[in-house]
Amino acid sequence: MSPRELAVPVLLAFGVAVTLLSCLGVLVMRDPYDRLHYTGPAAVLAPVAIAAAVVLEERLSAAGVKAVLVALVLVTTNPVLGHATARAARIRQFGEWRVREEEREGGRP
Amino acid sequence: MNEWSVAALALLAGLVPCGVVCLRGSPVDRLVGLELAGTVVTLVLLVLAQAYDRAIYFDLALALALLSFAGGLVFARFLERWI
Repeated sequence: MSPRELAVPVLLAFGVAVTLLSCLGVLVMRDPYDRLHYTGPAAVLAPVAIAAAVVLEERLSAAGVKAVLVALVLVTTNPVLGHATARAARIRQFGEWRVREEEREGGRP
Repeated sequence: MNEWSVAALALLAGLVPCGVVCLRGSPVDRLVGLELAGTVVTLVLLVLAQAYDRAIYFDLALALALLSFAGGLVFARFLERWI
């Protein structure tokens, strides 16, 4: 078994494991701010690992390039989506998203 | 059934926690569940495209990645004030 053949299942298993753990994290956490942290690994580590597995198997053919493109889209859009969601959560909670006076010292209320 | 199909099946199990989050909690909690479900389904389509060995199927994953991003932004915008 060549290193390339060995790397494909390892990368796939890593991507799947990261995604499942992220889903469990989102389920277990209490509020939206905590839950949002767990969308990160599923949208950054997992697509990169799976796209790398596809590229290792297909080289940079049409499939490989498209897999890299999907990973790139997920990696770039997830932070924007997380920011927009957290902003929405704060506006719903406090009426505005900016740091409030009572939050300047200490952590989140 | 190759390793890609097994990975797709395993990834599908990740939709269960997302579904549970979508059914409970505040509207923003549900939106987070929906966003993660979009990511998981994108990955499932990516893996299935390789499992079926059809390059054209990767376009589905790409379309879903872009559309779930746009949908999430619209939901977030509406959840800010109107819903």
